[in-house]
Amino acid sequence: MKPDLYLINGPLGAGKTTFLKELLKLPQHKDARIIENEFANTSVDTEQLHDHHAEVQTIAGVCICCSTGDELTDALGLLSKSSAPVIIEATGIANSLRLIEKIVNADMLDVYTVRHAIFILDAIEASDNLEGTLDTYRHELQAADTVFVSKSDLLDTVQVEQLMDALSGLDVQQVSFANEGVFDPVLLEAESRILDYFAQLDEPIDNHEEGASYTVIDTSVVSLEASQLELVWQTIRLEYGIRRMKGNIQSANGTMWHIEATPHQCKVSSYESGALRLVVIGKDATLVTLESVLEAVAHD
Amino acid sequence: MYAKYKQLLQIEAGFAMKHAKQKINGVVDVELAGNHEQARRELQSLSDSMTFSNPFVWIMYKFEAYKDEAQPIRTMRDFRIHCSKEGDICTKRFAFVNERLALKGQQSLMDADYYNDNILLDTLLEERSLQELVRDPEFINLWQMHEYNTVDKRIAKWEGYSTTT
Repeated sequence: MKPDLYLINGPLGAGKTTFLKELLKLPQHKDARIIENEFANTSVDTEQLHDHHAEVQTIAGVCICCSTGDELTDALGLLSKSSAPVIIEATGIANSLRLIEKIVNADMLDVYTVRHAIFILDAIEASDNLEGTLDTYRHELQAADTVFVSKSDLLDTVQVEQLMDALSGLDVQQVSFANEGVFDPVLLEAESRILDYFAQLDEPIDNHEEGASYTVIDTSVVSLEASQLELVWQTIRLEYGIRRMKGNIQSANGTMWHIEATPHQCKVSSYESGALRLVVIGKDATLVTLESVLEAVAHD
Repeated sequence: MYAKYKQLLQIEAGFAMKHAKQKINGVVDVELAGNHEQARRELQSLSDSMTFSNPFVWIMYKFEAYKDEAQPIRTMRDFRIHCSKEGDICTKRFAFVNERLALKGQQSLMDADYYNDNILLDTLLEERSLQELVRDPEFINLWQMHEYNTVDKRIAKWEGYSTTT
């Protein structure tokens, strides 16, 4: 029997890893293997999966959907020996259709069954710019077998209704909620249609959402206070057109902080260990340097 | 040359999409498969034919050519990752530079304490040890010997160089 293949995609910080952790709690996924794609050359998320006993393969430093290398195919080949499911968690700028194209052209459909493609949509980001967000992710939303809306508990009822109405008008397959990663597993039983969607697509696939580039900052060389980063996040965001920032920093007393920043919030939580890296995504993300962050901190 | 590379990349992407669609639909189109393979080979061939007279030209090319990509090569981190794929020509170039730096008693570009991940590539070019290396005629001769290597008129750059030796 061919192992099932699940794809999880969505913007950086939307809640893909949180969702994955819940997915792994399902009995049928207890032995699932994971291919986690990270920008940072050391994962900033793998630590969150340390309770999962099955194999976690991290493909780091490249985005598997646009890399010309064989990283994804190699990882899939390696994991195909067992019948346990394989879950691919993409980077925050990956394109699900490009992933499908790679999987198909590498003849991985002979080896795996594409079971379900999941897209995690950040409700706060979507609600802030409904038209723009849905336009940016239109293909992702339509191609996904289920769109899971995260963080809807942080919106009011009217905003949630507007968002769901807009999504239903977009011809998505299924849409549901996944606040804090909690979702209805029955939805995953629906037959996957992403291959059909791909086969019927009559326009070229863009590798990434328009204008999105990323950079990774090594934060191991400085001490940064989480409160400082929270304060300057909006400054950096506006100055460089940054959409999201995620990773880890360390303060002078050695406390580690995990940062997840979206246009609306900069969420900070304490962290025990992990790579001291910050992944920054946005229009001019590549211009964000450690110096520019420190400069913003100094001016604040 | 990069414009040509981008053009070929686009052509290959077009074939890749059509090819995948046909596979999903269970259609076997030998001509399309051949065109796709040919486009992949042309891309590889063009990539193989790019030569750089010295490491500075190479580093700046990487910096400039990839600057508008989603995965730019701007910093030492980006550069190290780009030069870490086993067997790749850039991995060999990178190893060669490090090998020659070591012979001169200088820090390797792999030394993340000395060259931290955040260093921008254009700043790297201001490094005295690298500038001295590029001014060394023996180094440049060896670099160009590998870079312009041919075997029976076939481009064979860096073929004779092994990163393990």
